[in-house]
Amino acid sequence: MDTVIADKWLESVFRGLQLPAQSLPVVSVARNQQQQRLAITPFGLSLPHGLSQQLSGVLKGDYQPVDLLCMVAHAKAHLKHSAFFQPVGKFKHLSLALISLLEDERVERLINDDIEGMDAVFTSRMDHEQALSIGGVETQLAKMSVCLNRRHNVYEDYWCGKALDMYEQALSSGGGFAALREAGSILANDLGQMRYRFDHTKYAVWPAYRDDNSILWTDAAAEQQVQEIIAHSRNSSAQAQDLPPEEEKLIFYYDEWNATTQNLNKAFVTVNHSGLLPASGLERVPVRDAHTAYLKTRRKRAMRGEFKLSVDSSEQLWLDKAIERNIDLLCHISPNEHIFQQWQTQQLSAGVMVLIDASESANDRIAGSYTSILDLEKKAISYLADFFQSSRIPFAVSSFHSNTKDDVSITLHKDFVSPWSDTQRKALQGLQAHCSTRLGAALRHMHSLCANRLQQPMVLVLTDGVPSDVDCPDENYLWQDSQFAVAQLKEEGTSVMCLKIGASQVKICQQIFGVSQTVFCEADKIELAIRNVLKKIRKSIP
Amino acid sequence: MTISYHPLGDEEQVFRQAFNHHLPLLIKGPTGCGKTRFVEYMAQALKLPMWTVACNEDTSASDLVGRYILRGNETPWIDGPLTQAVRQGGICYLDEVIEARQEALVVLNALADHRRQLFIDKTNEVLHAPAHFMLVVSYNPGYQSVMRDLKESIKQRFVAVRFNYPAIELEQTIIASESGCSLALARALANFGASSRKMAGSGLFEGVSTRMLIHAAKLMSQKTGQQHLLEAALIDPVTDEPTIRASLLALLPLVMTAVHM
Repeated sequence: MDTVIADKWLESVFRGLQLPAQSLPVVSVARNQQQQRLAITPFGLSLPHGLSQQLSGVLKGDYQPVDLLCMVAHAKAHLKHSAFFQPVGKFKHLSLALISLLEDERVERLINDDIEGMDAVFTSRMDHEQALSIGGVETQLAKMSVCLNRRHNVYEDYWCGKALDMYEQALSSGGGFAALREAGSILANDLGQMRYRFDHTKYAVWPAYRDDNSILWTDAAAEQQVQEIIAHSRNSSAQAQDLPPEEEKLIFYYDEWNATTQNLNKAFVTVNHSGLLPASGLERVPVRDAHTAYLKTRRKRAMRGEFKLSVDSSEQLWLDKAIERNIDLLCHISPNEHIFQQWQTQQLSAGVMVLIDASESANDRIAGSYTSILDLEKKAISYLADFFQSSRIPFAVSSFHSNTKDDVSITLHKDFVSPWSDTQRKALQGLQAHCSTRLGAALRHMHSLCANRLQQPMVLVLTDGVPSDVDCPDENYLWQDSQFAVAQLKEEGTSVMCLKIGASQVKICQQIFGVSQTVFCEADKIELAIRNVLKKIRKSIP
Repeated sequence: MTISYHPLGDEEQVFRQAFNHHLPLLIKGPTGCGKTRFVEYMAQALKLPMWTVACNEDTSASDLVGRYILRGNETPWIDGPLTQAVRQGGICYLDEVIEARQEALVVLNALADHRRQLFIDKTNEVLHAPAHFMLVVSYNPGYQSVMRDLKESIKQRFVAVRFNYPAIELEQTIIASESGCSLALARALANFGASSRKMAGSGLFEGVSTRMLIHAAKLMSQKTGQQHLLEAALIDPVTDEPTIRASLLALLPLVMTAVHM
């Protein structure tokens, strides 16, 4: 399962349960080894294979996540109320298991103050018949869990009764975890004297939603084991990642500007176009050869307007047409009902191509949150699409990343004519970011896509930083080419604007796009930034 | 039918003061928090007739002021809801006013300031609003303000009241009284609403509204409800995003346990 999705799920649930952001876990990893319980680690929650599958099922909508809610609430209870990394000392494994059990119950009672109704949900997972079917000393521990949860001796069992008494006594003494440690130790000693055999290698905390309690103890070996499992799982999931299916790609070649030599390298960069196919007749367009004067004339013509006739929702009655209609009626001729008039500016063939920077740096998270740059870019797209639709401005959406000059990958997710459908929304939500940022070539390709479709095109770039690529050691080379590309596009009638996300490398972005055409976006103020972008778009596209 | 309303703060006092001083009122608040209900309640309390216009992107000045229509061989003038309210006196409530066209909002200028006049250029009339006329507008400052905003010249003519979702205790009371469900279920739903609002911003535009919680309570109030009904009332209307949907689903067991209490 995609751990990024799991992260987001966890983040949302934790936010819903009002866990402070600074104590959020950051990693979820599927495990399929012996360890069958959730582990809370300093790096986040480590999900066992079964729970990971359940989470996948929930995300697909075919599983009801009661266990997952219990899991998250239990983890939150530990994070909020437990003291971690207590020294194991001379405690034996059974003592550790019993003390942990008492601690589980303690924190679950406390968390009910934060999550109303959680006690009933926990109780619903404490199946007292299932507890009897486990076998061995684990049955005794499970029975104790049931009794502690329900606060009475369900089984009328001596050991359960003793556990209940000692637990309540420890809590009422106000000793917290230290008192529980003593109570657990005594209970473990009693069970040990009854010759109960406890195999810690096969022991799994019951019920299944509870964590393995490894976070409570300073067991260096166990911690190392968790780390190794996490590392192993990360590597294997990365290796096992399916390659995307082969899809049709079109290849284009574009020039690139070398500011050092003042030379425009012809057909220097290879662009692989995928996703929707561009409009027919699109060829590699040398942008400098376009007919600027013709474009200007076209734009001027587009500013004209005319009276439109309509049936309703109009401003004024067109008396001539109304009289004509009445004459038609008197002559028993089917009348023309379009008798209202409204001045309308002639429909401009203007539109906006949104270009998403999907390079690796977009995966960076905003400090102190789960939100990545890419998340913000997707959010921005959502806002922009709503605006464009409501304003009837044609728009298209592309994303790009690069891996040297021979492979600039550009995907056209939506073109100017296709509707903004749920499929496209979902496809964009799944957009992944990787590799580098060769912006100049991407801009030139955007111009090619727009130029033969629109009279007044605009490219809006959503990016987090300056262009870079692995084959460009000179850090100035690519931003200077991008700056040149922006100037080229402007000359050919395509305006370029940038929504820069994050506070770094502000000046270079301004140099590439121009101060007035660059809008900065703080991570927590994206709505404000979008509003500024929209104001600029409104000015550019009447 | 008597309209009930549970005050969130001092909005009733502000409304009455604004009415007494002939000032227009601007109500801001998220969807489903009770803006329209409040205005209906105040109209009832002040014994005033009320005209409600649900504005949208096609709402024009003619839709508010009126237009000539064709009737047989004549073209009579028909007053719009705003003109009717000004002529007869009462509350004219423009819901989601920010969605209306700019030219529609311009007609409010003279009506919303000290002049309290409505110019009807097509009939060459100037109407003076009577003392018992009040203009009330509302909008959602959340998602709508990202795309649109009222001009300062409009905004600054109004007295503003900010609404938000009620605190859990109050929301519990509202849900229970509106739906007739048990207090336990109302409490669980109010908690769910509060949790969902914490998720707002990461794929969820706004949290689950009080109105949606009432819908859910009505569906579940017979204790025969199943989880899919809760999904239909609380989750499906607000999100299609799988992760957010799964996150909301994860919180549903808290409500389900209350259903069977």
